[in-house]
Amino acid sequence: MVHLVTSDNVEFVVDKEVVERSVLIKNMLEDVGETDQSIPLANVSSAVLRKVIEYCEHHRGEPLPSADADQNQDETRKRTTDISEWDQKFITVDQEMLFEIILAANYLDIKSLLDVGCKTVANMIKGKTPDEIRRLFNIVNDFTPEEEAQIKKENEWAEDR
Amino acid sequence: MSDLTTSFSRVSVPNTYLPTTDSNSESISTILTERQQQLDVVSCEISGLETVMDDIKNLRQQLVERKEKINQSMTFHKGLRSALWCLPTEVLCQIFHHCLREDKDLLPISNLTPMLLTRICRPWREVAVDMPSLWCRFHVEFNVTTVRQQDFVFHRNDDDDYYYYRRLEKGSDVEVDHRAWQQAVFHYNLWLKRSRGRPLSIALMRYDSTVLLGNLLQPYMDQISFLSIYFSRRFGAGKPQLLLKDMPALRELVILVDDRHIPPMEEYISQLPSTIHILDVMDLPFDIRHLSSLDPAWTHLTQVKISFFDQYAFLHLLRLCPNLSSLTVEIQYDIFSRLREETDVDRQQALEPFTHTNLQTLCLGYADEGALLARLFNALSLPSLRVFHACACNTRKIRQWPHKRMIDLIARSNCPLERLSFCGFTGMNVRRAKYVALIPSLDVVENVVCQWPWNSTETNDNC
Repeated sequence: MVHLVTSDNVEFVVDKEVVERSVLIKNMLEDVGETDQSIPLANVSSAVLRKVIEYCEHHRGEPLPSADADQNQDETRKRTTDISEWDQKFITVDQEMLFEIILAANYLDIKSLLDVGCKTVANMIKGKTPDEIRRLFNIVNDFTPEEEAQIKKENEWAEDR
Repeated sequence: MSDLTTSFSRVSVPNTYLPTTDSNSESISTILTERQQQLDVVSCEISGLETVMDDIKNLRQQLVERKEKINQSMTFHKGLRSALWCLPTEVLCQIFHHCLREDKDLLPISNLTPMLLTRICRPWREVAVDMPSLWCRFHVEFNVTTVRQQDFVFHRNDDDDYYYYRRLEKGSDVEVDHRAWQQAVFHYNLWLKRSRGRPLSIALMRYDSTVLLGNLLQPYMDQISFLSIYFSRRFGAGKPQLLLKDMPALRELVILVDDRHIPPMEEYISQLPSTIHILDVMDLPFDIRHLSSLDPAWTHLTQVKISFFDQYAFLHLLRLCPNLSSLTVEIQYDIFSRLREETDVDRQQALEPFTHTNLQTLCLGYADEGALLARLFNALSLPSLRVFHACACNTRKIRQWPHKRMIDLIARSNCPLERLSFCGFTGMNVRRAKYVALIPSLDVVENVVCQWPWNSTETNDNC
């Protein structure tokens, strides 16, 4: 079992096989060897780590993508936005939790979870207008009038096709 | 009684003359004076009301603006604590990648990615513009839809190539769209430059001139690795060779035509660089004579989609392409009338046994009688075949698949066949056991819903 301590100082005891879906932790454990010492995860809160562990538990035993395979399938992986049914339910969380999960997956180097998170955000973006996207993600339109004019010029030829 | 009713209005008919008397005249004058006073009062009230309404409108506008500012402030402050802004650039890039459609070419539409991503906010724009991989797929389709098609006529210039659009306006002949084309070229360059030397996938679907288009693509010729090109008489198929030469990085070529009689396309295909590995010329039926002239260019091909007039060309293609691993082929029906006039000796020579050692996937669309296909199977050995799909392209002509010959082919090839699927053929239930007896792990599927890669009413009905 592996002891993990989150940024809000909550300790989790997790099966090694489960936690090793994180390449970061897997490498740490390989470097340190068997130890009872807790691994501090300063960038991950307990609420987020709970979700991450839930994901890793569900996908326990599945082969990890190798670095080579990942590189070869990079384009395909990035462009396919299908998400499995379980993953879809898992990732149906509020927006802030979604971004926190993505950040945690990136930090812990869990590629498949990062993929699910990124695909989910991409699916939220698709089919929306700029205003709808801004409203959805609380993004301020920070273009200057000059930039707006430039963007309008760039895009006017491609409208109403 | 209304306050506007008078003794006259009760007894007189409108639009008639009232005989003038002193008494009448005085009374009417009095009434008119009173009405003028009333009118002044009401007009004054209306004016006052309009002032109030203007004030209300202004107040509403101020409130709307205030609401918008509050919303902006809320958005700003919500955004301050959003983890969205903590995402590293590489994660944002990954999200943007997922936003792209999976097509090999992307239409430049402002509300679709990647252009959409440049319109949200400054940080996103910087990331999107700085991601060459977002801009490596491009679909050229010169926009003429803003003007009605019937307003245009096509005009060929002295170089036998340019087609100018001209709009007929009240009998005059006004050239309007050449400038628009140049404007489009400016913007296409904007897109393509963002690819920064990466391999390009380009679809050229609708354009006015091969010369202009050639000029547009000239700086990017070295980058083009996938090209899907549509030749149309209507949209400037004047000199297609100008577009197909000097593409040293081209690996995959798709040729589409709206008219199979566009001057000899085979000549242009024969000039393709040896870098090409994937070729889709399903729109251009070949016969065996054309294939013979393409020998050097086709040796490198690993994936081909093609249609033939006859099964002999099929065997010839396999001989020309020793490295072929995937072949999608439609053997068409209409030319068989010519073949049947050939002698038996000719047929036997064309169907000499042949083994292709590399072909792993074969998708065969067939539109004629099964007996002809059986002879083809007799001649073939495919020791690497893993996937075979057959589609009946004309169910009026063919319903029975030559299963016995097919089984013989599989047995003779001793191939690692994994999947065998059929679309539009009957009689599979009887034969399935024989296939499985030959290869127990074989996945045999019938009545597959397939999307055969060309349009034919009969094919669509069946697939």
